[in-house]
Amino acid sequence: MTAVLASPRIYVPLAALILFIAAAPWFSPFYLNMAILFLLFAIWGHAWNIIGGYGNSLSLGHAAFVALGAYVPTLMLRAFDLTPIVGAVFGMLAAIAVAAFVGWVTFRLKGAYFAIATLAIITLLHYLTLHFRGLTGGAQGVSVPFRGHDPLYLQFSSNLYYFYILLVMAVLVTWIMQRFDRSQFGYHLRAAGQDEAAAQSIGIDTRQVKLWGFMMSAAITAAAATVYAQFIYHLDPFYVVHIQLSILILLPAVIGGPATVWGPVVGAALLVPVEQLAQRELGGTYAGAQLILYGLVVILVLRYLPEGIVGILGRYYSRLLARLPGGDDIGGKSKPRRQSD
Amino acid sequence: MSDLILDVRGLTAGYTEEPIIQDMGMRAERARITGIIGPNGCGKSTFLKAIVGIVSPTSGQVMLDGSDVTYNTPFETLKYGLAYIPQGRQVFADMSVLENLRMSAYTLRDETVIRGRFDEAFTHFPRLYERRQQLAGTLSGGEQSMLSFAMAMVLQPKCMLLDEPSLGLAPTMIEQIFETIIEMNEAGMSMVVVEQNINVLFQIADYIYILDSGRNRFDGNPEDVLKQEELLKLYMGVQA
Amino acid sequence: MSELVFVFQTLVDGLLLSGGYILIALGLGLIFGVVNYVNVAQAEFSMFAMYGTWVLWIALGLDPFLSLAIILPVFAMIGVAFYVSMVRAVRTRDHGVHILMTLGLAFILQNAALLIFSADVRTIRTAYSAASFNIGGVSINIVKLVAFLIAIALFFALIAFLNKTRTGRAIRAVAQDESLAAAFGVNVDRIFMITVAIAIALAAAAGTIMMPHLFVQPMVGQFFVLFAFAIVVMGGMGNLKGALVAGLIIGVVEAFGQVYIGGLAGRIIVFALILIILYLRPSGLFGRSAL
Ligand SMILES: Nc1ncnc2c1ncn2[C@@H]1O[C@H](COP(=O)(O)OP(=O)(O)OP(=O)(O)O)[C@@H](O)[C@H]1O
Ligand SMILES: [Mg+2]
Repeated sequence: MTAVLASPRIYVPLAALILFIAAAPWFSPFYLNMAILFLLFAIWGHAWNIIGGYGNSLSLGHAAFVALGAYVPTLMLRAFDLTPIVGAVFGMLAAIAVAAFVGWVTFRLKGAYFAIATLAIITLLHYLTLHFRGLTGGAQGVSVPFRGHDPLYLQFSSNLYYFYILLVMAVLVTWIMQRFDRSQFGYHLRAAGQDEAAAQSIGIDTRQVKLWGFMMSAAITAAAATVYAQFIYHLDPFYVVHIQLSILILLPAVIGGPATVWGPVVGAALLVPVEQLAQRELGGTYAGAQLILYGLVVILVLRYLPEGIVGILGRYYSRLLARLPGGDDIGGKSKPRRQSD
Repeated sequence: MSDLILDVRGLTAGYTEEPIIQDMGMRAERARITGIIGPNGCGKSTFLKAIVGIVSPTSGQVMLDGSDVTYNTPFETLKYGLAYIPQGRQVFADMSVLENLRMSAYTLRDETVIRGRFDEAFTHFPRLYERRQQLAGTLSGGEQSMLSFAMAMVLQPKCMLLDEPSLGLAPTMIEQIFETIIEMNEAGMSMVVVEQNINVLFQIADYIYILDSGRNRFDGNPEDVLKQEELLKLYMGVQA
Repeated sequence: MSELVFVFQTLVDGLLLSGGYILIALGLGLIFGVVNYVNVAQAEFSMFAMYGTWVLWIALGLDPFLSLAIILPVFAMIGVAFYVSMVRAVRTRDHGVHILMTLGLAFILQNAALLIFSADVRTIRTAYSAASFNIGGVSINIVKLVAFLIAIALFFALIAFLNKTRTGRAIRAVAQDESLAAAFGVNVDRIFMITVAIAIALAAAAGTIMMPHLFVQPMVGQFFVLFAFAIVVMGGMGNLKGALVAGLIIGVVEAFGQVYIGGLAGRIIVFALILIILYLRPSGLFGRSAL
């Protein structure tokens, strides 16, 4: 145990995590909000990365899973007084069912069809939400009934609690992704995403593998969305059930580094603060200016850094770690030609 | 002193770092038929592609009728008068026969010239004229071969490179195609023909090159080549 | 109004509204079929064309339909710029890369429009905007009819261009076999550029002709492009004639859903239809026939 802890590969992120946990109570509401959104988008980014990064299947429909994870438990809470902790399970099941359906329809097709189908599903859900007003509240949206401080119902007197819940979830999901990255499942999904024909020729049922990946992705997205719903306590179909959110979800992984464990985390750590600060500084007078920036970043990263930011950042990070105590073996192991420059 | 239409020297080329053909040479005489044979996968098609510039050579030289066309694009080579008819009858499948010919005449602007060339092509291949409105993708294999020939003829090149014109065709079709080759040759066309069908090739070719693993192995008149029984057996499985 | 007249009225309304969507879908299909590129920002060009038409109307009093004479060439040039900056370098990469990059572009264009024109809804109401005539009880709005006829005319002009002209044939040849076309002297890069220019001009035309009966605000493109994708999927990716028929069908389906079920049912049916078609006939109702 101590041997493991002595490696900077472990103690640097751990120190950062502890610092993050300890500092949170002193965050101003603005920065606490930012931290919560960072965690949320890191989780969603991880989830998207499973199918969009590893599976190389561009999902434009992840807001649909957010919608199900947010709406289903909220509506159940309103109707049956069911705690969202249990409701979350139903939200996840609904998301898994939709993912299974869409994946089943499209994973036998090639190219852009999956993207189009996911676009269709989020649009469909958007209009369904607006249309069935009686059930969903329509364009007005729907609110989570206020219960005061009630932890069993995920309602708290302070947002700090949401921060810690999402932090636990983010660490858990990151850990899962770390294992996934090296698992046979991860390897198969990556193979299916990179070269479908080659993957099939070595006996991988690519459709099956992608289907599982998509379902797993949907479930994680919905689970985080349930917590998110309690945090924002009002669901607006023009944000929660909207393509725009789908796009915000895919950006951290795409920009951070698709099909990498840390890509979505780095991406979210970069994009969320930029977005929040830009919105605060420019929001009033230049509404939407921050999204122009987003658009530019996406285009430039895709054009010039297809590996994402961790592609470059990772190299500097490794070099840094190698200089820290206990880091003698790091550069040597993974990068044999470390000090050639 | 012979009159060379195509003079290829020391050509090395490939699709990756690894060269497929190495230091290959060929001298094709004007108004003659030069044959190329060699086992499957030895680089015959790659050799032709390197000559016309579809594959960029890493070294060597290609002289066409006295001008250096080594690093030209396929289209530039075509403008110099070197037409390449690829293996496998390539035509625009969703266009009619006439539209295919029009595409081959893409760089010609003069309508009367174009008409004249079409007429010429159609006299060679009356079958194509009957089917001029039919989609090329629905033509028979032989007809597609004819079309791809006709498309090259429209450009009136100085020299034609044919990559296995008989591949996958019925014997009567093969005969017809080779008759056309002879006819065009007698009219003065220089030709380089890659063939697996050695019996036919030996009847029409004036000079033969044998390739092996991306290198020249032997060359000579058909009579000389036929004397190399060992070679023929080894590489072609031919019972000479 | 008798039931039959009402049915016809709905049919006509649906048909007349489909013109703009068809033009956007044609552009999408053209770029996809020839350049093998997926442009999700296609309808953002329509949105800007709507603003352009609106500005010409406000500033110069130019009739929206006449402004096509300015909008088309200007957006063809914009299409060239789009090709050079966004398409050329990534053309051979995954469709996913195209989609993400053009999503980025859509973000930029939407929010640029927001900055320039604000979120206010803009409309053009000409003197003849409300004019309509009556056939057997079915009322036909002139502005919608003109828009529809222009769309259909542009469709046939495009088909004729592709089939009858040298450049058009080259476009089809490149769509079928890029390297063979190059072998006969076609400058493939230039053909791609022309194709994209035409596609963007079509998207712009869509915006301009819809302006007199619809409205513009920065997010309209997001909706248009979804409809266009529905048409492209139904008609078969890259199948232009399929896009025309699918556009008409989808226009009618939406109108009937809206009138007979109410609310957003029309749209719900359209997007459910995409999934159904992808399941039953992924190549579209009319197949994937080449250009
Ligand atoms: N586009 C390509 N990319 C990579 N390698 C290729 C490509 N085309 C051909 N090769 C390889 O180059 C080698 C020579 O191929 P080439 O087509 O020139 O052979 P060939 O002599 O024409 O064979 P055949 O008689 O079967 O037509 C083969 O090993 C082939 O696998
Ligand atoms: Mg060959």
